[in-house]
Amino acid sequence: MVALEKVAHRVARGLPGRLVAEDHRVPAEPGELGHCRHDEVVLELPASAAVERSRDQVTPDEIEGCRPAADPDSRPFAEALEILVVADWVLVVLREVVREIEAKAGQGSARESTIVVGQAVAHGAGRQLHVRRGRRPERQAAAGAEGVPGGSGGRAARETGSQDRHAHLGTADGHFVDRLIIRRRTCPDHPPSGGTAWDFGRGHPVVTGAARRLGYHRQMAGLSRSDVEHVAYLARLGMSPAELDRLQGQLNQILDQYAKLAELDTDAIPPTAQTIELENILRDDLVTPSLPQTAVLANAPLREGAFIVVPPILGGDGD
Amino acid sequence: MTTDLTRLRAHEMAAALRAGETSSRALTEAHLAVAERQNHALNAWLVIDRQGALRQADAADARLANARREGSAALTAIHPLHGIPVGLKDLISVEGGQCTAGSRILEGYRAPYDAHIVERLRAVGAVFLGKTNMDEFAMGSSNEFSAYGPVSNPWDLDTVPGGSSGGSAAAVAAHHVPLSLGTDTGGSIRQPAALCGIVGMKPTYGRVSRYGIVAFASSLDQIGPFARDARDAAALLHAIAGRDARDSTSAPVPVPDELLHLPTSGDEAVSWLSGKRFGLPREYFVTGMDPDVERRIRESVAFLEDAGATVEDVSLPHTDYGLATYYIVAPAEASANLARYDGVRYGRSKRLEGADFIADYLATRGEGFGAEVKRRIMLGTYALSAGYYDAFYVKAQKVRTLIKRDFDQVFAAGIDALVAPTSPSVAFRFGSKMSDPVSMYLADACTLPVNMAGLPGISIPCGLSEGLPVGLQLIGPAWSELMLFRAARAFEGLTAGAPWRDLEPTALADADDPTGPTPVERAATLAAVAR
Repeated sequence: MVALEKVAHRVARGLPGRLVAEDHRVPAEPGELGHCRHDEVVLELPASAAVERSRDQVTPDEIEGCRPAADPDSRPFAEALEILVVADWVLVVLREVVREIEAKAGQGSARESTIVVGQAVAHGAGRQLHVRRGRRPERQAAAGAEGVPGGSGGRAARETGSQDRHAHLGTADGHFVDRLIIRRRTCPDHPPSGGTAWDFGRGHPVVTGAARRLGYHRQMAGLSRSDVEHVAYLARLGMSPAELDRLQGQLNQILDQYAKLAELDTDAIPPTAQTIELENILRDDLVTPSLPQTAVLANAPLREGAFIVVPPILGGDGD
Repeated sequence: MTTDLTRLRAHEMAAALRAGETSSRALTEAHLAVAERQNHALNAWLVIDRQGALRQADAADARLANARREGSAALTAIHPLHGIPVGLKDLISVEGGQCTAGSRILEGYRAPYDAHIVERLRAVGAVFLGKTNMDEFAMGSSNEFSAYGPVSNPWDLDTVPGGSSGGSAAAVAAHHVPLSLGTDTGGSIRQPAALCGIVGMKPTYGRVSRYGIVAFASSLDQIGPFARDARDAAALLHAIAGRDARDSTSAPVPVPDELLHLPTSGDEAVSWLSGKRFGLPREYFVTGMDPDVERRIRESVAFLEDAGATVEDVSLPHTDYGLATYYIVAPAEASANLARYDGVRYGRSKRLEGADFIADYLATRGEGFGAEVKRRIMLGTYALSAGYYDAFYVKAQKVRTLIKRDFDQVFAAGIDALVAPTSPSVAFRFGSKMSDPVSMYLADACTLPVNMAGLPGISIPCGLSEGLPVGLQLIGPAWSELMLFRAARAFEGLTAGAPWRDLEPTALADADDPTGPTPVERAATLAAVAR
């Protein structure tokens, strides 16, 4: 698999975008990017070129040049790529993307790029809304359906090719796409139906718009079960597997809401930690009576004389 | 005079006490009787402190008797809350009493000292009837997240009273007390006030000291009053507001004594409206609002205009971002605040034989906290974790600036107060939002931007929709509580003749039935039906 990995995340930090190739020997879910260790970078795109200039093109040669040798597939590398649009976050608004692009790029050309963008995006989001038009719906469409509002966060939805380029933007209203994956087709029975070259530039405003919106979020797309366990451990919350399962879905649903904030450019906005302008509230440096010891200790679950018994933190078996 | 003392407003009770027509003991007994009788059906109270309340009532009567002997000046100097029963949300520390915050993790905990507001209320001679039910750690909009069971709404026992201060709101609506206190972090006073058909105010951040209150989200939490009218709520706010050195966020801003002297006559109150400018924020009327609720709000606006106020369309463009901002900031602060519940110094504790201390924490907190609290701690921990702090917390704090600026700009343009719905819907049925956290969070969509901006907001009854109360929210600039109460009082004057005004909650007769289902049973039945 080849994926435009972490673009949004990296772009938000001014890091270059990357194309990552998956090691096919490692089994992984289609569309899943959670196996970074087995991925290989095949192309790095400087953030500025990749994202800011929407007309930039990445030529097949460029990708070809960077890709690892010994590909068993004889087709040109770029031809075997397809664009996957992953609508992982369901509730951020696609039309905002459109509006942003329109506002930024002016009328005529913007509209065109909007449409291109919008179709790809709408398509992915459309799948999230059960607008199934793929040829291989079974696995991925089913996975996509999970991302319907109220579901447990999204997974991959596929862009299947030119015959679908006329998807309605409307289907995606109220939805948006968080990442664009360029996927290497591996099934010879299903050759890519799109053009031979893949126009990186035209596709890019999606990434730009979405990236802006989602930048900080990119990695959190879909908290995995192990992420949930890790956070629970950090928070010192012991929970049953069933509780963790439930939380994973619910947290992802709530995190979806957060994505909305990325719509706002807040670079020049100072944070508000508190709302009333009080400064340097100091008290007089005086000795005042404090609670009697018995009152302070009264609530301690384990006491010994005038002490609270704390659990041992040193000298355990393994220390 | 009325035979049923519980039907009086607090200011009427105060007048009756001064006139010697009743005693604090009689008032307290009357309220205790209703609260004890109906708590089976409502579950509004976690503790009804009969003994303590009567002791305070007797002391109040003794002081009243002294004052009466000293003459009319001494009698007038007595605070209007003297001898009046008050309910306290069970996250307010009263020395020696329980303070569960609706959580199992604080079961058995006894508060070692009085909260600042409790000291203040003791000083004016108020009577503490007991501690009211609430969503665990004030996290919730329905009171269904209480570890001690849900609360029924006195208007329909199958519906929620709102939350998190659901017990305080239900108790006032059902005439168990004329006054109660709650806390409001994202709407936890205003939303239950709306759903129960009473008055509830969230004061300006910094107006009331939080010393002795269980903390949820420290940059948002504020304490405020519930009452059945504006005058009573204003008097209660007056009693608790003001600077306290032990809460460094409490502001040294004078508390106006006019809070005790809102117009008694409706006409006088209404005349205040003339020339006032209200703003109608259009963003509060877009998403998912019950059309009938919107109708009540629009009718209320028409009332205000008829009385000589102008109402203008205004925009608070970042309203839509409030929910996401709030659900980053509040859980982040909560995860830090709730880290203190470690089972070592106080509260529920689980020590496992031979296990390490982290296992003890995991067990203590895993068993002690309920589902919603865990959800928020998880969200907050995640939002503050390495690599996400800037992306989430700082980003949200920046958006918070934008939300606050929206309000600042509207008020700077000369708008006196904003008029908005308090809740997008009337009281909803038990269980209807329990499995969908986001839909529950949306219940506070109209209230939480006010907390984000630190502003005062009040919810007042403005009619019924399908027999359930609708709340009108007024939002003012910082420290404008008096103005909001004047506006609320004016609205009371305007609607004095309305058929819904002074209507009793419709399910009180059912609540009197000691053999009827409890809220827990009602919720279970509804859940079974839903399945």
